[in-house]
Amino acid sequence: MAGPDPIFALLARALDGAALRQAVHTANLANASVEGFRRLDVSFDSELERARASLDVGTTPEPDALTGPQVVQTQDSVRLDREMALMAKDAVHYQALLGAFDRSIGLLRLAVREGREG
Amino acid sequence: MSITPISAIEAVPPEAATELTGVQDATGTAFDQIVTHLETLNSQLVGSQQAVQQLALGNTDNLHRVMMDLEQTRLSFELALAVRNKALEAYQDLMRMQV
Amino acid sequence: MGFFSVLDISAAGMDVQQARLEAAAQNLANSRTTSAPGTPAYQPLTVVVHSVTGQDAAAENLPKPVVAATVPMNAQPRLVYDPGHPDADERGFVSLPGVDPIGSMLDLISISRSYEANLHAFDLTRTLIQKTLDIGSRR
Repeated sequence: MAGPDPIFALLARALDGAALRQAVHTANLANASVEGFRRLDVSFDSELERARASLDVGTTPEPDALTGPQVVQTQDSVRLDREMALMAKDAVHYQALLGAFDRSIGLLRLAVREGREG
Repeated sequence: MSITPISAIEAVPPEAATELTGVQDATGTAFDQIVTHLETLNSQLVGSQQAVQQLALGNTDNLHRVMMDLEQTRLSFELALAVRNKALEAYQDLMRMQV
Repeated sequence: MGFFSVLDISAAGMDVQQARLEAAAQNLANSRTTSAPGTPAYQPLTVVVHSVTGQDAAAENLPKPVVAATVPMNAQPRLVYDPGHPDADERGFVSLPGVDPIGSMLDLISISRSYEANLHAFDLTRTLIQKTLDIGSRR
């Protein structure tokens, strides 16, 4: 996605992770009744941690350097209440990412239209 | 009082001619840039269309990417329109100039 | 990530809980039935649920629950001393199905919670889809 601003590629990557989390929470809740089922998780945070570190230093992280989020198996069983809480938190994060994208595009659009709305 | 006789118009000095050519080069470069931008926009539009085709055919992977793609393409298109309007204005201003 | 396939996973989860609910309700309803001596008593049912993967490539091969079987549990009947009962045996004992009523009621509660959890996940996925479709629409 070659956009006017590399931040959009980063947001898209982050949304990949957020979408996968919603899917994984859903699967954990759905399979909770299966004997011996262990919950799945999404590994992405180490990538984000490195990207955040590079931001602190002042460089923009390369979105393509972030490998895609992965589903990983854990040894924990599913606890409904905990899973629902995690799902709620990750859903808010997803919507925050959408909102960030929407507003960023909106700012650029404002620039293109020279302040005229619509 | 003495009236200064009208002197012959001097030939345009070579430096001025070079400057005119210079302006032409600058305009040419600007148009080149616009064309390049339009090519980029076109490839973006094609990419977006393909994504929408996929969606229509039932492939709903990466719905968020499709929507983001469409939004960015829309923005690029608006930018191209704005540039086109500006270029048109500039041209009209130029044409209105008294020779 | 195929959001719409994710909805299928929640739907499958709800189907499974529905099956468990039916079995638990049936067990509870039949927990006090008797049968004549020598005839088989009601056998409480249990639902076996398995995880299935790889059916839906769009859902990143996430596991989907499916009812593998609904089987009788082979529970030992409970013997209650009631010599006046029409179905009492020669020693005066009546055979009641080996259903644990308290256990069954707890099951019903847990099944109900699981069902609601799946429903909530379904709803949330739907909301996220709608929000995704809404980007850029306000301008």
